[in-house]
Amino acid sequence: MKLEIVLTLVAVLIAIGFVLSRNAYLMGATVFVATPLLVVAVVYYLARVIRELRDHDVL
Amino acid sequence: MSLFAWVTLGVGGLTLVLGLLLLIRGPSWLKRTRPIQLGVVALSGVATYKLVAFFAIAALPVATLGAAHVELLEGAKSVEACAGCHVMWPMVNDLHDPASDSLAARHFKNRYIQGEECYHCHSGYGFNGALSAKLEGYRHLVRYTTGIYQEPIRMRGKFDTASCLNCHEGTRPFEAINSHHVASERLAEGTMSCTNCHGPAHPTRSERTPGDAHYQGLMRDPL
Repeated sequence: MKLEIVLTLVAVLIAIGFVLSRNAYLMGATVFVATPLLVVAVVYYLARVIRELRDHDVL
Repeated sequence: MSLFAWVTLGVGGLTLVLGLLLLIRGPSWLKRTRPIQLGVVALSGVATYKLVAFFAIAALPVATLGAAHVELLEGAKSVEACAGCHVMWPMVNDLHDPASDSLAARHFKNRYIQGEECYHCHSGYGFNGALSAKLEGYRHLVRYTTGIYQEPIRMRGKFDTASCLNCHEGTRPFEAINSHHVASERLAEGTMSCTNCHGPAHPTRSERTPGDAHYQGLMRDPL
């Protein structure tokens, strides 16, 4: 699960950076880098959860 | 700082702590722990790990980014947010200049609009207006951060006269001017703009071009 955690940490760091120092570049990074990174992380995480539930015959 | 900024910092900070714990100590650390009693539920080590992972990867980061987006969209309404891009400095400096006679400066010094002056005039009314202003904001963000623009910038398309009329139409000073009635049809059609008579709204492109006498004064950082 390391990939998901790293992607999430990067996304959250960018968002925190934007709130602490508002400028157009961090605003752009939040919208166009952090958000897609988080989407990828959550999709990977959900795929893992679904796979595990299928392995345990829950789904 | 607004509430959403604090939420971003607080929830984001918690996400960082949980994420780093999972990353540094590894899953085996939580999986080895003894069952944790939460009220009537006893969580095994594996269940604790999965719960922490859910919060660190899904719930808390989504809340953090969500709050950051709300902060971004709400914060983008402020004049300071517009002044965050240097191409907007001439407009903001002119807005705050008591000696300026531009339409924007006249609105500012007479306090016709109380705060969020750029947003008030450059977003339409109702949900569609707010939505299109935000989408336009994203387009500006892409162009500015990637450098796809030419200075001095120019407005894309035509200014929507309805933004002026929404406040002015029907007021006594507006209705007292006969030419407003004469031009009302053309104003409604969009074939005539308020700035035809009352402009310019902002410093002209030539004033915003290097070499012009006004350029240095307009290009100082307004923040």
